[in-house]
Amino acid sequence: MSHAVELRGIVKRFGTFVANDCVDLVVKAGEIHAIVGENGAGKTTLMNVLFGLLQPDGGEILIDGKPIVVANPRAAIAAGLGMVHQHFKLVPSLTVAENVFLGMERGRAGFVDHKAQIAETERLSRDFGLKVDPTEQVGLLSVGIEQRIEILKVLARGARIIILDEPTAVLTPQESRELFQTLRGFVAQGMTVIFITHHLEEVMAVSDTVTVLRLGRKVDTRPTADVTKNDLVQMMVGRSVSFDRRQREPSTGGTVLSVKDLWCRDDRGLPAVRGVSFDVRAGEVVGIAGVAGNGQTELAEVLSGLRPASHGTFRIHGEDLTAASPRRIRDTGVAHVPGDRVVRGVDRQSSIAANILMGRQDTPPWARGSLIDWAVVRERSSEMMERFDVRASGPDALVKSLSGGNMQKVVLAREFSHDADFLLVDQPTRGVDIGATESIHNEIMRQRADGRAILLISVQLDELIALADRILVMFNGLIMGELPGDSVSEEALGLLMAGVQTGPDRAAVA
Amino acid sequence: MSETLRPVIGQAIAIFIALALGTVVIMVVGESPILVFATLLEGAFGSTERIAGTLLQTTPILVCGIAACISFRGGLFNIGVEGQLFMGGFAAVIVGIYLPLPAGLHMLVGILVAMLAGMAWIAIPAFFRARYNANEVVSTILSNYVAVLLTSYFTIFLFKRPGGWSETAPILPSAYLPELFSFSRLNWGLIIGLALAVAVQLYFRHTSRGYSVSIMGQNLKFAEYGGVDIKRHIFLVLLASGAVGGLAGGIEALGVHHRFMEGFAPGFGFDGVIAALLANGNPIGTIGAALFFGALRSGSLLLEVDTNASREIITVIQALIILSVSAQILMRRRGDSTAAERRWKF
Amino acid sequence: MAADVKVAAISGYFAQGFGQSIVAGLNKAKDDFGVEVKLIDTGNRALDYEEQFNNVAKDGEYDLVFVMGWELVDALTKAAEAYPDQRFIFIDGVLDSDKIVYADFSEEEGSFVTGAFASLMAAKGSAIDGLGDGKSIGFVGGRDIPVIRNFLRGYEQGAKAAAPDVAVDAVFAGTFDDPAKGSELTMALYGEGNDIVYNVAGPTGEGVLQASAAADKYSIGVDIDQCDVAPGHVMASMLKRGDIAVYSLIKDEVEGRTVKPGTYSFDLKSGGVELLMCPQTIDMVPEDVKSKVSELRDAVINGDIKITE
Ligand SMILES: Nc1ncnc2c1ncn2[C@@H]1O[C@H](COP(=O)(O)OP(=O)(O)OP(=O)(O)O)[C@@H](O)[C@H]1O
Ligand SMILES: [Mg+2]
Repeated sequence: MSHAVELRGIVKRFGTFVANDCVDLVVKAGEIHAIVGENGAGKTTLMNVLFGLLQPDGGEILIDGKPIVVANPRAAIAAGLGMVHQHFKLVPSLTVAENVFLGMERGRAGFVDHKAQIAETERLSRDFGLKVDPTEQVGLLSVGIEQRIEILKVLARGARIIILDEPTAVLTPQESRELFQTLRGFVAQGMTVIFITHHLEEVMAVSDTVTVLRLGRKVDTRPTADVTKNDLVQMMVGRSVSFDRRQREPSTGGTVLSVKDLWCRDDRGLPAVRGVSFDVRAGEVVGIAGVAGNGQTELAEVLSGLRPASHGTFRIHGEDLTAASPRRIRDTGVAHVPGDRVVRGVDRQSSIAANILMGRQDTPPWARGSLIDWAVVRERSSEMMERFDVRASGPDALVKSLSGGNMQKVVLAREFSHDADFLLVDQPTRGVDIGATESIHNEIMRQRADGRAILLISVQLDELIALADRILVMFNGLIMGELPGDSVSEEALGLLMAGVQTGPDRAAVA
Repeated sequence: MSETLRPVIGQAIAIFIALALGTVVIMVVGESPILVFATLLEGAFGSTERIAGTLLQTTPILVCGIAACISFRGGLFNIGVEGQLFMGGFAAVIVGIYLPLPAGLHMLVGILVAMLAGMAWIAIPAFFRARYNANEVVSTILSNYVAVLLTSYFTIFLFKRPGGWSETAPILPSAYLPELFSFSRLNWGLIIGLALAVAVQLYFRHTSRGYSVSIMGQNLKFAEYGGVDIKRHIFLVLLASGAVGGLAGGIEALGVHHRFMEGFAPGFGFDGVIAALLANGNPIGTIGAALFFGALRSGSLLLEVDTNASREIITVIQALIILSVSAQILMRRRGDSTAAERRWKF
Repeated sequence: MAADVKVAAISGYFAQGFGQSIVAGLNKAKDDFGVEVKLIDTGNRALDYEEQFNNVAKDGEYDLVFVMGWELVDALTKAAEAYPDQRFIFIDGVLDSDKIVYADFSEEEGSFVTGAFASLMAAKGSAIDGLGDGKSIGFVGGRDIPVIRNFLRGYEQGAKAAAPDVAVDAVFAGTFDDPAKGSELTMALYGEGNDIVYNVAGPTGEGVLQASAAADKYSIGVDIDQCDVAPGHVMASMLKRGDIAVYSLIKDEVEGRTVKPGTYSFDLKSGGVELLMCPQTIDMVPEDVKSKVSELRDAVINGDIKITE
């Protein structure tokens, strides 16, 4: 088998920090090659070098056996590479088809030929089983669909070697399975796939070969068939990690959050949450499961004051906050880890310290009077970075220079350190490595033990099963049923998530 | 390269490219570029009086630039600084003529009223931006024309000095903003501008509200999520920006012209916006950018007398600078598409 | 001798009607006497004016500095104080300072002849193509300022002297820079039966002339030869011969009749103002109109007719 990609001794430094330290990588043509490693191990950096987004400080790149200089993504695309980034780069105000052809518009005589673009998007979408509506505006779509568009973009540019950076981080198990189907389709047609993931079961399930990176160096490349999940964990973090259900005391606290017949609309004005009611008690983790796009995100936004409710109420400690501002809700004791960290969770242009300050800029000791005490902010930020294992040069590092997982940890550090009675946690371990996932899970359990009420929204069923006391399943804006966390099967959850009713007292919802 | 240095170097390269293109233009029109640049330098910095003249031109650009910076910081574009300047200048003149007060106090009241006038002038665009998300770029641009025409109308039809050209009566000396030196009209406005630049810089860095506004400017959704009252802050930021625009007018009225007339201070608002853009919304950087434009302006006045090049060459060079700087900003932002979407979207 | 006379001109209007005639006079002087000429465009910023005067006067390089534009008056007065040896010539007006040379045009005399011509034509009524009942003639002023009032005064008195029954309908645009406004006002004047409209309105007046073509009526140009703006519809132009004023002042200087502070008048007699009947329409002007106009013109030159304040 020939080599689709060969990297020899790639070195990439940021200042004095070495993100890739003499990395060799061989990807054979027609294989699915997984790359794993902790947050900040240098996976994204390595792929950015390959794709011409970063210039290496040393080393060589060979595509199809020929050495080339990848001066920019254009050169990479010309060489047959395509990349779907960890954070999407779509233009929200344009349609799907316009995004797919952005920068390479199909046109006649200087005019964009929208018809042709739509037709071609439809064709690609059909051929590769990536369902989209080419005429829809991207800003209104869910992340799952945005990813399909990113893949279509790559395909439209004629890529034969496709790089996906944590493609499954934003997907539901169902969507992930579909994606893998698509990826297998690609290799069946002779293409080559490189993908980065933190989910080892995905590595085991779809990849032919796996490479482990650690602290900027390559640990090893192995045929997937020759390794076990535990081997990989050992290679990545140097110890074993467990994701079994956490032991716990039964919760006994009073009701903190009480939601009654809550409704809201999505960005298009259609009902997204359609009359949900539930309580969350102190010292309890209530999980919300569901395929992405069934109202979970909108529910979280209503509960944090970012989206108006169209009907119903929610109370915290008995206080009606349905029409309250985000500020007021925060002041009542709510912390919120948002589902989309790049849009809501951080300001990428600011430092870690400035990100951690958000929400406390009026509160002593962070601020004295109306003046911010940056010395305190830095000091506290450093402490939190240590506690949450944020790997960066210091509190002044810009968030945009962080790896995806570390960005997420900054969000968690900020929100979990608020003295909040109610934690609204949306996809807390999205893009986080297994070692850090374990410590985030520990942190959530610690918060639970401290008597906080926690609403955990996740598309990761194993995460819900490991953490939740009760699991509510959302489908189409409704709560389809409630399952106890300690005796739930993925099958039962899966049925509810698909909209199939199980309780005898409920009418079926199609 | 450090993160703070990168834009500065980018900007410097953009200016360099513009000057290089300017050189070509100068050669095309048949002048010696060396003579032109030497004359520009001589005209801008050749003597104490000329330096004072340059600073005189710099002052309104600087103050207008700070006004623009304030709005940029909040992720907003007050392109109406020009209009606020005209309204502020006019209001200050009215106070200067008709509200006799003790010296000093009279001047302070004039400045204050100028700021209020600038604020009032942006209040409507600010309200519609905050309440209904109506694009402030369009509304503030339009408000410029109204301000220039309205003040001109008032000057000609209501407050015209008898017998004279289209100008008001002079203000009372008690309202004068004092001059710094005997040999120039350069006045305390420059000191106010410099102090304001430092104050605004410190405000954004060190106060809670300044922090909230900066974050709002960089990622509105994040600020909203973090509990910043978006509508309120948008409104306040635009008002503050308008007040500083009005201040620029007050300084020109009470410090330089001592009356209002046609051609009061055209273009300074726009130059200020460009200076702020060139400085990437940083008030301290705006000092440098304003000085650069001020020097071009005052240098160009000598250029016209001492060489065969027209003053329009400077307009061309300035346009080239705007082009290459905007291109540079776009290029820098492209790597970060979320940011590009958010800020430089007009 | 002559070759070392150097002159400069400062104005913001070199590209506009009257400014163009100044430039023409300067160029003619350059060709005829070899004087060196420098033009300095003030632009529109009040802040720049003082510095521009300083730059021109600083080395005493220029023998004469022509200044045009009322907005420059303050800066001019200051400069005249600061550089007492520099001779500044203010074109088209008289100020308080006795250190300045004034080139003054008798626009009221030129407008008198214009008023006479327009009213006589209008009185012919429908005998002439495109004219109606001939009850009144129109006037579009740029702004209601003293100079423009001066034009109007002459125009009204000329009309009265030539055809007492013809009234003058005068409007002001409020701006010199809005041709659209000029058109609009002119259309309104035509609508009220004023078939000939005299513009004294700078670029606003362009709109007046264009409206005459659009409405198939008549107009009269001002300051410079505007016959070509709407050929066949501009009947005449009242010329303020800036070129003659500038040229004759430079000529005096070159020939040793040193120009001194004080007022130099340019009137019908000296050729500083005159009425030009456009070649495109001159054939439709009846002989009796021509002779009556020239008769009235001579009366002004002789002093038989005085234009009153
Ligand atoms: N532009 C930059 N400037 C400074 N440091 C950077 C920059 N980009 C990346 N880094 C650093 O390089 C290291 C590797 O980052 P990279 O994004 O490659 O990690 P990763 O393996 O993709 O991690 P994750 O799984 O969290 O996405 C990180 O420590 C990160 O902070
Ligand atoms: Mg990464």
